[in-house]
Amino acid sequence: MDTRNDNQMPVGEIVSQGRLVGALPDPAILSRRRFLGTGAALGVGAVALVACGDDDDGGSATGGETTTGTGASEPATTGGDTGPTVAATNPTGAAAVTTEATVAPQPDPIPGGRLIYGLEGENSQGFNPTTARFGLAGIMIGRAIFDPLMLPDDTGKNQPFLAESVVPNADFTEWTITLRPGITFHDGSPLVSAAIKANLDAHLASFLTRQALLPVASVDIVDDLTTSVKMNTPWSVFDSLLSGQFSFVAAPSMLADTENGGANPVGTGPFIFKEWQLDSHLIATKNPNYWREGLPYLEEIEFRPIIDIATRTAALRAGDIDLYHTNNPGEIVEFRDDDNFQVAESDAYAETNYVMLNTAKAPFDDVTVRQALAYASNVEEFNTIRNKGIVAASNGPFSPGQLGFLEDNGYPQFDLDKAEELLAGRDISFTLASVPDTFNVENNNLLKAQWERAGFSVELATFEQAALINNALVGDFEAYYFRLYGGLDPDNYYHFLIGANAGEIGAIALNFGRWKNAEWDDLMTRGRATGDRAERKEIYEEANRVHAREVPNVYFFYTRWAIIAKNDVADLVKYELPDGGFNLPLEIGRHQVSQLWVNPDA
Amino acid sequence: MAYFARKIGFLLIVLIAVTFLAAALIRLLPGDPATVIAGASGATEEELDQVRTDLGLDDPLPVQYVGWLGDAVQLDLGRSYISKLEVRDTISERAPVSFQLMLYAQIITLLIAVPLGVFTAYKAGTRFDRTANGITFAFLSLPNFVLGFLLIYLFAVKWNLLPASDYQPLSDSIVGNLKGLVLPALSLGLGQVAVYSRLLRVDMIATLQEDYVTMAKAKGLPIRRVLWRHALRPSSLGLLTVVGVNVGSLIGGAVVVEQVFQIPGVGLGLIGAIQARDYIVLQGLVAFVAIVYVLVNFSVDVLYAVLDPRVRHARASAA
Repeated sequence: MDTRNDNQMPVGEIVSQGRLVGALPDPAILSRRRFLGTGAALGVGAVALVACGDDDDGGSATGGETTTGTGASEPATTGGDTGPTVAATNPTGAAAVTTEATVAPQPDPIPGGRLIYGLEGENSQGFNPTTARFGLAGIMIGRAIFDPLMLPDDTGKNQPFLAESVVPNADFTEWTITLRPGITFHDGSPLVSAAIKANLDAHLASFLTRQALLPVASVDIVDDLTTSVKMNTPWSVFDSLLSGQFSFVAAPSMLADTENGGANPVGTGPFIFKEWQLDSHLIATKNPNYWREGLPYLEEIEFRPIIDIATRTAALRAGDIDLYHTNNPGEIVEFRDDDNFQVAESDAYAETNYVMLNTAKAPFDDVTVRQALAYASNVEEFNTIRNKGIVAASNGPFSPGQLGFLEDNGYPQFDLDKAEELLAGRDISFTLASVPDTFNVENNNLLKAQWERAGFSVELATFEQAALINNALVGDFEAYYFRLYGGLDPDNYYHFLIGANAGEIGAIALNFGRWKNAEWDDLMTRGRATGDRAERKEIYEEANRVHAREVPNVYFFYTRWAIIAKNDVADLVKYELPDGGFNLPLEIGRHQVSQLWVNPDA
Repeated sequence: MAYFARKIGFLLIVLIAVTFLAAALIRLLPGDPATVIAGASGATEEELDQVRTDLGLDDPLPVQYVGWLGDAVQLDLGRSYISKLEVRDTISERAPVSFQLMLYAQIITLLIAVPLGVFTAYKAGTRFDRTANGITFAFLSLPNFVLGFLLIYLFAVKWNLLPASDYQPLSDSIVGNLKGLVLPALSLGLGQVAVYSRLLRVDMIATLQEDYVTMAKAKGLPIRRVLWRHALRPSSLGLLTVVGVNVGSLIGGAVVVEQVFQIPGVGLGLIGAIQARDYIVLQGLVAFVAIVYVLVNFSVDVLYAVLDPRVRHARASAA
């Protein structure tokens, strides 16, 4: 079942196959100049598809597989190369594009310059990765100042970055992290296993981050560069967590400064923290001793939070900023057709937008009511009206690219008659709530109209973020508009949907909707215990079908993230990994920044 | 002297009342700082209680308030629950930004409103008067944020003359600072032009009918001199009062304008603190705004006496 519509980009075709496409821009909507600028990225994506192979072959990751680097730092991505051939590998058959991509040589990166990166929000809790909540803004700043232990390659598999290798034992009860030698923090201290232990121990002690690391029993130093992480239960995908917030390695001196450390981040990254003014800017300067030779190209990078969408757009057009990230379809569509800007997009591994139902109380404790609500939801109309038709309809928490993703998992499709039949004349009323911004309020109004056509009575309400989260935690809601899930592996949201985390109404629970299903719990627990990719694929696909049948949430679309930039910003998402291969171009809006450079000829 | 002592005593009472009410009202907001900080990540009830204890949130409100007040008089306003930044530092960073914005807004408003008020009074009832009235009220009827986006579209996007969002501290660049604040200041100030100019116009019309003005005209003084030297000053008391009182509305407007233009001032800080239930920051910022508001109005009172000797004499005889 293809749930996309005609306005979607061809990349969606690749995404719908559940594989990486990252930032493969639609050649049809890119100007030639922009296309040439991203040619290599196109090639990278295409090569990634080949490397990924067919999921059905069981893939390459099996139990006990090691993800091993080749050692010392190597020259970083450089220009002068020609983008790999697309035609031979791109299943979308974008042959016309290929010609330009393969013929045009890529210019050499020019060191120097400064860029201003617009952020969708502020990371107001500071930058201690063990105590602050990192939104996308925090992740982007983190990628500039810290380095991750691992980074996903263009097949979505984490590869060593600061780590030289991350290796599990045979039964996944112990993982060994070995660091690359010779790397230092910005404060001059060496990156050694004591730093890894300090960071992981801080995570385990932090109520902010420890939930995701519950299987970890202890962290032990083996030698200067080797750390052992022991599990209290087999955990085959520990490494899938090591490219996000958990992966950032902060200097022990920063972690020790509990009062001011968060506002003065110290890492090993390509840029050194210079200054941060909350709600205004964060400036970081080039790290002259960066372990990746040649990087970064920029002398300085400034991150500037601009929360209002209209202001952000205007700021880019006025030249106040050079690039920014967004998931707003209106902005993406606006810039797609503008030759003065380049756009890189992806919905691979993205978060899902959905209405979360409280299954612990009426009316949504009744599965037929939940199913009726799903049948009453005209997702295509919703996405056309609210999302300019550029997003893919979602059918569960499993997003494109993830194991377990299925085009057709049995999730109810819009059918008003079926909804009315399930309701059977019952008078079902409930309240739909969200945060009070205009976009969400308008969404809610459309949903109310759709659902009332089927016979539901819907009240609308709004709560500020703080109140909304509070209510979700204690189960004081009926239906909430939410965005969650996504990530490299379905295990990443294990704790949000597992029955053990579904507390009683009034008690705090991370499984906000309080949905309990023994079959789901069993599958998700089995999924994290085995390393056999084919087996895991089967397990998560079955979990996906269970989820679709039970409808704990009503699903609408996968978030589409985009980077929009002026044409002179080069190599938006093209980043070569230390041991070869390329970084997943745009993972939930994330990308590297050390490869960015300013091309005066663009 | 007794007048000033009474004023200062009154000022202190107002400040205590405002900060206490702010503290009480903030805590009536739905949402709990402890869950904002830790809840959504899986903290247990016990850990959340510990967070509340650590932050002093489990004490009764009067106890929390007295503790805060005791520290505040020693200029210790505490640390943000969220960013861990000192509230005192936050205010010292943000206040100059908002001051500049409001100052520029007032300057722009007065530069437009005073000449407009004077000339519409002189030309009262003419087409010029009616046109000016219509235009200024059109600006008054536009919400700040609408005006802000309109200015951004015209000056930043369409004509590329000024930045849409590029605040630069005065210490970094005077020109950059001015360029970055022109559009926000216009958004904040243009609506007030109607208020200021119409108020001045009414007072000027009354003044222009005074005998001494007629005498000045009869003596053959140029009309420009009559208007600016003889009529403006006695007509400006009402305007001065409104300018002082208007600081409150400017602060309110600045909250919106700072959000639109992403200017890191007190207004943006207030929004962030409210959203994060960062009580300690919110309380510090509200106290600061209250102090500024009360002091500005106190200064206006004093200026009254300077501008109009009758006020000074009346106060002296009352004392």
